[in-house]
Amino acid sequence: MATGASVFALPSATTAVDEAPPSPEALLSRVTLGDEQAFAGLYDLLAGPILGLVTRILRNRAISEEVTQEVLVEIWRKASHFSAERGNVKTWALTIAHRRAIDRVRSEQAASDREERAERLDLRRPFDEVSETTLATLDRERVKVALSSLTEIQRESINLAYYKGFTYREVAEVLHVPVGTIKTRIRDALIRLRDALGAHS
Amino acid sequence: MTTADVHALTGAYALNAVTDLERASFDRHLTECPACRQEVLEFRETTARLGAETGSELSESLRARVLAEIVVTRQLPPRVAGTGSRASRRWVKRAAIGVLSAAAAAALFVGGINLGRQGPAQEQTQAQGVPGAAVLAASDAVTVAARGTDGGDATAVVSRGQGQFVLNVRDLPALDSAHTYQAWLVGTHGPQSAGLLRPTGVLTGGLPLDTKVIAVTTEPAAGSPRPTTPGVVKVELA
Repeated sequence: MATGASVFALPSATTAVDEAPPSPEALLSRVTLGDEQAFAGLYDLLAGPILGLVTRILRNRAISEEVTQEVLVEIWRKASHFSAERGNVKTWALTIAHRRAIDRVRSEQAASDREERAERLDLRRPFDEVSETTLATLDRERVKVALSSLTEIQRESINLAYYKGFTYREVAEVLHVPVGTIKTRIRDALIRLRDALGAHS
Repeated sequence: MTTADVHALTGAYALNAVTDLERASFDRHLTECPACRQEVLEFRETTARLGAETGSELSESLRARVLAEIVVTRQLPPRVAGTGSRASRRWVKRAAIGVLSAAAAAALFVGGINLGRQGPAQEQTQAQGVPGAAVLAASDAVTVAARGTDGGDATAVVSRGQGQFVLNVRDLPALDSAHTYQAWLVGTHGPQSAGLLRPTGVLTGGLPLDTKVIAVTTEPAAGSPRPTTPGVVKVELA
């Protein structure tokens, strides 16, 4: 550990900022070794997108911050479990965040409650309201265009599943579409989005 | 369920739109189906971009809470034995099990850093006439040591019965005049300041019942109400 400590020690947080920003992958590999300053750097790169996604799903700011904290601590705990074969660090982090947020939605909502929630949903609301409230960066524009290329049922399926925590069976019920059909619609939608967005930027 | 049905679940799986039971069963399927594994990977890259599309303003307090919590959170070892990382993590485990008997508190003042268990109580003469003597002499005193992430080490002697602690830090990295070390008692209600410290020094004080960890962070010279940086050393109390 003695050698490890000196290799990974930074003189101070401020001098690190002046250098070229390290990639999330480089930071995570240092986090794996218990480097808390590297984790602080990773926090600065990932906390915004994580909180954004979690808030989008859970709405409540306090609960979203709580879940975001859990997600980031999980990233710290499980840093050594990250495998580059399974995507980049940001994807990994957002996958954890999504799973945690959805788990929270489901644990807080009893089945009957969820039914009521489904009724309250305004299914006519355009999916791309998300984009409208955020900065129109090039990538967001591409995501928006990609989403608009989906059929309405595909778009709504993605919306309900990804942002509302519905299982595909629940999506089928709400949209009055057979379960088997929804399963393939969701897959088709993701294939379309994947191809429209191209390789990861 | 037909074979075709199984493969079609990649989309719902990548969106977490499955029940726990379905997830577990599809996890098993993924171990034997490279095509689905690849597709899920690609879908996750895609959905991550849907998620990252939404930005949100971050509060400083969230950052402070997260950085304070990781100080007291042990990391998991790699799933597969790797090269290097396991060895460097070994000290964390040793520190965690490094609970010494009351008598071993004497080691604190001869500069030793003892990790591991020791036998029943012995002479406690060194405990007389030094700060925190009562703690060191207490029958339930426990000594825990940990190494600093960037060098140095810390030893804490705590007595739950007396509700007191003695913290001894040694050879932490030098700081400029604008900064100081600050010790924190971290319990179920978050970190509570225990006082300021030099790179080498001793601090004594009251120990709240719920204290799980004593951590030291770098702070502005006047100290901070809450930790603002990752810790340089943390002592996990049993």
